Amino acid sequence: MESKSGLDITSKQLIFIMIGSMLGSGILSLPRLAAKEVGQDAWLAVLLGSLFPLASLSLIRFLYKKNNAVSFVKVCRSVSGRWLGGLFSILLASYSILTASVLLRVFIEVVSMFLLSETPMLVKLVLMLSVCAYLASSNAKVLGRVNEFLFYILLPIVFFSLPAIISNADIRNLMPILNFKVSDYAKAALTTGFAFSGFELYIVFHPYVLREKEAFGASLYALLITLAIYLYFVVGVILVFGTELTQKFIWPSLRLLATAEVPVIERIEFLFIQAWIGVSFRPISIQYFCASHIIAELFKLKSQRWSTLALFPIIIGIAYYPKNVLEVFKLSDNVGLIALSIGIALPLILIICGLFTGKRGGKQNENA
Amino acid sequence: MVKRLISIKRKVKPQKYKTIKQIATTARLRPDNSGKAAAPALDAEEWFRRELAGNGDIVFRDLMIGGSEDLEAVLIYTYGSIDKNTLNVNIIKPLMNFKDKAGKDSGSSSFVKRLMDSCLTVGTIKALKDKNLAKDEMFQGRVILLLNNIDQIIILEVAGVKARQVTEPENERTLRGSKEGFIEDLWNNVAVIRKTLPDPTLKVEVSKVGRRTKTDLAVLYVGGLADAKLVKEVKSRIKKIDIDGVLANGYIEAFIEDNPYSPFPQTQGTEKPDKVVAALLEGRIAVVLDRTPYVLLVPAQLIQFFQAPEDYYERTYIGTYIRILRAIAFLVTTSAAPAYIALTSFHPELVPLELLLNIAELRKKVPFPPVIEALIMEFVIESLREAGLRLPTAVATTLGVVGGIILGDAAVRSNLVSPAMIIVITITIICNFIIPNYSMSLVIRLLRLFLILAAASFGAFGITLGWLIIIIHLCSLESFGVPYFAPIAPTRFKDLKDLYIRVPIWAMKERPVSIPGYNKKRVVNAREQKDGK
Amino acid sequence: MLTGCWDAKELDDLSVPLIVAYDTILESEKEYPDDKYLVTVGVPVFYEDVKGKFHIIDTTGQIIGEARGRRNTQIGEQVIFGQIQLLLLGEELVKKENILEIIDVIVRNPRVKASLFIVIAKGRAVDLIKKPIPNYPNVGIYLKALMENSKNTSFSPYTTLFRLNRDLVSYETAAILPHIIYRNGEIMLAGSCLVNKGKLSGDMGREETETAVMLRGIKCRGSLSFKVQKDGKVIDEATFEGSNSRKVTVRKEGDKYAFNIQIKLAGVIVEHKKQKPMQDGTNLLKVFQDSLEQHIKKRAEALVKKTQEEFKFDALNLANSIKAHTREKITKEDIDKIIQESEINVEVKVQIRNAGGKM
Repeated sequence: MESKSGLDITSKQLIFIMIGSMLGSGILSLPRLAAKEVGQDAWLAVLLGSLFPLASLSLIRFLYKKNNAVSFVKVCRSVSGRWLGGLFSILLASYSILTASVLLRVFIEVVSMFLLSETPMLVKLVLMLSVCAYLASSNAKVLGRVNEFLFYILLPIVFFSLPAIISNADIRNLMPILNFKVSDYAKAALTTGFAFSGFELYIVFHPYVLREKEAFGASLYALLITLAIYLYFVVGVILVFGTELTQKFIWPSLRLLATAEVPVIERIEFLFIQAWIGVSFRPISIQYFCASHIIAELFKLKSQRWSTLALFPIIIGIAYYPKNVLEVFKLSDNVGLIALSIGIALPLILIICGLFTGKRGGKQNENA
Repeated sequence: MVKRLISIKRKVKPQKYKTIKQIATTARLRPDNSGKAAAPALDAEEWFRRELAGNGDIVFRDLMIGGSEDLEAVLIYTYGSIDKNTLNVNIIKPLMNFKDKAGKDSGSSSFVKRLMDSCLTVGTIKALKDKNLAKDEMFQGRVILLLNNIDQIIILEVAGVKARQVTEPENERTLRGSKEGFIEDLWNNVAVIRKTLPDPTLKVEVSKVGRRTKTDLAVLYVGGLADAKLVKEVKSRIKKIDIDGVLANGYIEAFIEDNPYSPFPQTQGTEKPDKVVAALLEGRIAVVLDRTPYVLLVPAQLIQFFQAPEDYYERTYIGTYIRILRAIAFLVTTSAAPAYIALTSFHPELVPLELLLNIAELRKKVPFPPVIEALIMEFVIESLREAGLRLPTAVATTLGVVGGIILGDAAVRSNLVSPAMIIVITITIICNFIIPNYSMSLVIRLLRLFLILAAASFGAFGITLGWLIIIIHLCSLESFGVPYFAPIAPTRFKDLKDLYIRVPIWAMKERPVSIPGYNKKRVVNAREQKDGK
Repeated sequence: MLTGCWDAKELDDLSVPLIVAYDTILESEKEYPDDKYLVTVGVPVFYEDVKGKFHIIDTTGQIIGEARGRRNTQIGEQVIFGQIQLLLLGEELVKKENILEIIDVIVRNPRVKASLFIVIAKGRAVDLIKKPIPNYPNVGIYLKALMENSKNTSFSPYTTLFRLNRDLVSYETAAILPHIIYRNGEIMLAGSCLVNKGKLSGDMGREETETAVMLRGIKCRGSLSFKVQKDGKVIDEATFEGSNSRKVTVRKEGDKYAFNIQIKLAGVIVEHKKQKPMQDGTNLLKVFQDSLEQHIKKRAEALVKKTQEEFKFDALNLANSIKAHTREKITKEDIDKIIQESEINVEVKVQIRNAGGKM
């Protein structure tokens, strides 16, 4: 049962890892972004946006079906040679580093506004990243377990918001349906596609699943659950606030909880923020894990701790760079774009390279 | 004391007055301290007398077997560790009355055999040639018999050290289960376990640990249930232990656990036989050490520390209720004080209005910030508890009254501590005692301290980060290959039946999934159904 | 580290405003000639042996935030806004300025609770705050309790920050805010006013307020007294206590809209003077129901007429139904026009469960 590096994960753990990496800061600002383009049809935009990750997951599965390999780095190398493959791996690793930094910064912005305003940014960044580094330096099994546990903690948040939604909901806020132009929907789908970013990490985790046949189904399952939760929040927010008001708040989901008039715990949103720290922590640490994992494998380091440590100051540096909230949002939008392109382009490129080298190399040696 | 036991090599300087320790270390040297090793070829008896010089509790009993002068023998034993009656009646008397039918020329080994088989009426007996081994045996409480001109030495088991009475262990009280606990004698403990579980597949494998203490250690497991790889792993880790002395099971635990840097205990210890048997039936392995009433159970998982065997003896609903109560108590005891600090120092807008005004008014009089208050109270209560542990009961009661009631009241009146804080700390301490396992409740104190400091520095953010660190740590712990945090993560739904609720005994059909093993069916016939099938 | 790194605030070092009031400014109160607003806060005092338990501070400024800044020089502690329970606005202020602009400083703060109550004071808010309340610890607590329980004891329009925002911004209807006056030594609720496009545009007395609440569908529990009529003759006077709800249906006939507002009331009869036995199988209960229905319907129709002729804007929270019904882009002016021109029908359904313990 013990693999020598503890990298084996069950398909159920894969589900939770994927959910953990996709469901991040998107929850808070998704209603606003989606409502901007298509108003009350935001939920439709979210549905459309989920097609991007679907495409990417299918491509990745195809890639692995054609090239049997035990890890992402090896797949890169086997389809495109040693140096080019290494380059691709570094590409994904840099993307992970960038995403981790941006997610970290966005998360800390929210925390600053609601919980700790005076503490210096650097201190908060280092604190949060240290905990993520603790998780990122362990192996995939631990990652799976932590994500599984935190997922079940997330569920109560969903239920906390239910009374707020039910007491103030007005179904007419969602009508009329399909009132916008097709191009509006396409633009909105692009925006909501960003919210799913994290799906591209499937390319790293797929080979570690014990029973490969179940891996793709697991990732679809994860996408479905993420989609359901996003829809829940988007629909809930618009039901309560209406389209115009949704666009006025930076983080409408948080305001949603603030409107609940619950007797004893006056501020349910506070509990939401606590649970949401657990939610946001996951994609940061998973991205961090992937980056240090790829680097450790590329440079044949003894343990992942060294690469985690080495990446620590880089991530802090990038996260510290934007000077105000506006720059953070610009950065996160750009990163979202990169996510979509990497998610779809990278497996595509690898598949194409694989087609070329397929005839040449034949079957590469598999490390058992 | 530990340090001295572990260091083996020491420089020996001749001194005017020797300590017993020095005598022990110089026992290998000649009496005139010339530094040369003792000459090897000596008469057995002289060798023994030389080796054991300086020990006042060793008796050399000369006798003649059967009364004949050419069958001289010496009995060597430590005075306090034998049963004198057995020695006199079953060894010395038969030896003196021994009529050797065969005669001396039949050979020394057959003579020894005849002695052992027909003369010495003792249960456990064996013969050795190695003098050093025999010396060790004697020091372990056996009687050795040296025979004149025969190189075999007979070892006799005549144990008689007074053992403690079987009492109820103090830390694991039960209301409805057996109140028997283990005592310090290994063989008695193993016997009790065998009595509770007379299954022939229960295996007891004995070995010795500790260079100088040579303590007996028994590894117990049920052959058909425990995973063979697990057993092998446990045995190999025990074999690797190499220290001077093993005094308690805590030493063994430190050597065989997976992660010595973690605050969480990775083996479970108990003093009650029923707990051990329950664990064995689940496929776990028990490690019993001589001189300790405390038995180790491996592998361990977090939820075990929150279970008490009582839960199984009471009815389902009660058991479930108590389990849930414990879970809530755990949350309260770790998070109540940190939450109070975080709310009053960092997030006053989250406290309901009337409560806030009350607390604020009370706090106006107190000079310290809430953290200092919390730490002061923690320190006082911990000191009370620690001091009360070792005091005789009468003094402890007085201490309780003084400390608890009078001190608390005075503290509030003198405005050193605010009443709200006292309530919080009191509830915390009470909830701490709900945890059935003693080692775990100590760990929880550490966790609480950590969370208090985290809350004091960064408020609610600090508490959440603290919990995240604890969760990550728990998820990465493994005890002999079994995930520590199961069945919470990885969630094994079958095992959840035993976690928060306590499903009736007749519904717990299978053994825990988390622990590797064979033969997963626990109950073959479910409860008799209503229509009598 | 033990005293909290950067963000820790000692609880007794804080001043926690419970109630905030904004007013237009009188010449005598101006600190600087350009000041436009008067900001008053009520802060409970935490010290024990002092005389005044509630500290009321007022400052002036050109803009609300400036007044707040000036106030910081008067208070000995740090101010946190998370516990503000009530926002009191002077009548004059809301008539002149857009309410959303004034309260922006409160809305922008993420730590302010969205369920704080907004109330309009008849006259000047600052006068109201300074009145002594003998039976409650301070004004803030009294007003908060008043507003919290108002929806359970009478048909009054409790409005929180969130609802105000939603009504004005998303629904594009007029918001309704309760009115508070000081009369005979007591502060009390007396009617309400309508805020259209952010400015105060209409006044309603107590009875009209109750009708408006029922028409708008704000769920409350209150009491209604009415005269029981059978065959045109007044036979009794009774009081009904119950809760309300509403249902709106929209029909489009060509270019014109037709609305149907159905008000549902459910509750019990707590008093009827003539004490005729009602609960023994006679039809008297139905007579009561019908009378109440007629009574409310009359009041509602009067209010609808007032809306269409006097107010000329959407005071009945019908905008959302319009927007849900059509695919075209509708502006506020369109909505107002539609309200004026359409046919608005009111239906009342009353359900009386029982009439107490007496036959």
